[in-house]
Amino acid sequence: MFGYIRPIKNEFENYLFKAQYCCLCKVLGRQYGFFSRNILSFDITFLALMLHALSKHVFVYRYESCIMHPINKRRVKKPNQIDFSCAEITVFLAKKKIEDNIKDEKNLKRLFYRFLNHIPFSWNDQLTLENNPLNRLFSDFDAMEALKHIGSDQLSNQFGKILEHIILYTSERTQTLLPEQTTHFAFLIGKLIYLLDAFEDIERDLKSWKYNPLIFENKEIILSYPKKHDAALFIRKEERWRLFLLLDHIQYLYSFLREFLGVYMTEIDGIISKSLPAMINKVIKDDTNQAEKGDFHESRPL
Amino acid sequence: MNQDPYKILNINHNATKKEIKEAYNKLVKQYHPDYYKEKHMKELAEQKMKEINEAYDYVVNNGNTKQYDYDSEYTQSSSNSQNQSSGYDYGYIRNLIQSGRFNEARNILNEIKVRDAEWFYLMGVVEISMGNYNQGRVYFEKAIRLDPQNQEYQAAYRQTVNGYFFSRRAGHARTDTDTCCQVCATLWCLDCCCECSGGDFITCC
Repeated sequence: MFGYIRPIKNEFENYLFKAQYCCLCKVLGRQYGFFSRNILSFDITFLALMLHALSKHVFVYRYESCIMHPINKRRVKKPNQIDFSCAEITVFLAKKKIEDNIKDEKNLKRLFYRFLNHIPFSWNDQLTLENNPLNRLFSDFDAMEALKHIGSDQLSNQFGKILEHIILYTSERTQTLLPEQTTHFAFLIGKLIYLLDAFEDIERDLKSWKYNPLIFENKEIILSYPKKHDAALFIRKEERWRLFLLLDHIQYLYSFLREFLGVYMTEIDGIISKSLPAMINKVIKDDTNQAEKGDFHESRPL
Repeated sequence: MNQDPYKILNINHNATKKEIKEAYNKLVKQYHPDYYKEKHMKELAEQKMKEINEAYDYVVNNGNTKQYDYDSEYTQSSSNSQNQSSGYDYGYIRNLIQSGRFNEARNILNEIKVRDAEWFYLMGVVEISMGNYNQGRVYFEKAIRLDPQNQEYQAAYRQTVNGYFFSRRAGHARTDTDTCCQVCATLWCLDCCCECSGGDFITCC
């Protein structure tokens, strides 16, 4: 995943998001090998947070040291079935990403990803997702992207469906009863992740002429602006209404979902009301709204 | 063709043949693939030219129709709350949308043959709620074109483009409930005050 759904820096330090992150990191290390800790993303941590909040299970924290912080012990949540399931999803997504990169990249980079794919991080033996409908959704998504003339709504919706199925799969595995709106909420979060990634890649994709639905939908801008940087700026300006509308949609749906949250409400509230607007402003490079600007961890917070 | 051909050619719906031709020639001069040296730009220009040619063919062949109607059977500019020919009440579809049954609402809307401004508006709401923002925006544009005086359609379009479509809808709902509660509370307070001073404002309680 991409790590767009995360708290702003000062909230990360103060709240329980960090304990959840450390818990997933430790589960990954124990279940799938030390190196698999590197594939953990903020998005999956948010997913785990949501599932815990909706399941209303009681859970405990303990203080543990880790290889990155051998002296100062950190608060870590004791893992439960939800964490094991989220760790499995993380590994599955990383595997898909590596397979995707093998297809897309060339020369040395491709060799590197092939090498990575063959390192037995104890992944393949433990993944039970191989015959899951998620695989079909991923291949549909790849096929749509390969066509190179699909609009941003269709592609982002397909990515949203993947996240919708991930939350369904995890809730089935952990026998968590989800409110009706959860799947659509997950769909919108997936859609947002895809669109944020497409926005962030506009300049890079323009330079390398890689397919990006936002560029495809604005052909006339590319043809009218001789400088790619200007064209990228214009596309960002033209298309940002999608992100604002999507944020509005997510916040609207969350107002219904909020009633069902048992724990982590402060953390999730913070992400939905502060971090997402700040992340959107960061991606569209809008410096005008100072109040909503946020400071994010640029790397993993280990 | 998903886009409005008149929009692609940058002309209004009452444009004369001469205006259409001039707009077409201007676009051909601007986007002709031969003007671009880079391979990828050439490809983009070819795609754009294909769109322009399709739009021009459409407008020339259907130029005598005043109402914009390129992907529906036919449209009707009046906005009625009851769609006579299909037998479906738009109020029922509005209720479906209100209760979040978007697929059902979309299926019923697709069965309706007579597509007026209200149809396009409701379809726009359904599409936007299902995450198809572009399509929803196009439907709102069509609804406004068919019924330019309707404030509801204009507000929906404005809210979509400015990114507060959902919060505004929620806001309306919340305001209604608040107002209702406020009225009840005020009546109760008045009744209490009257009873304290020896009178009675509401006799039944």
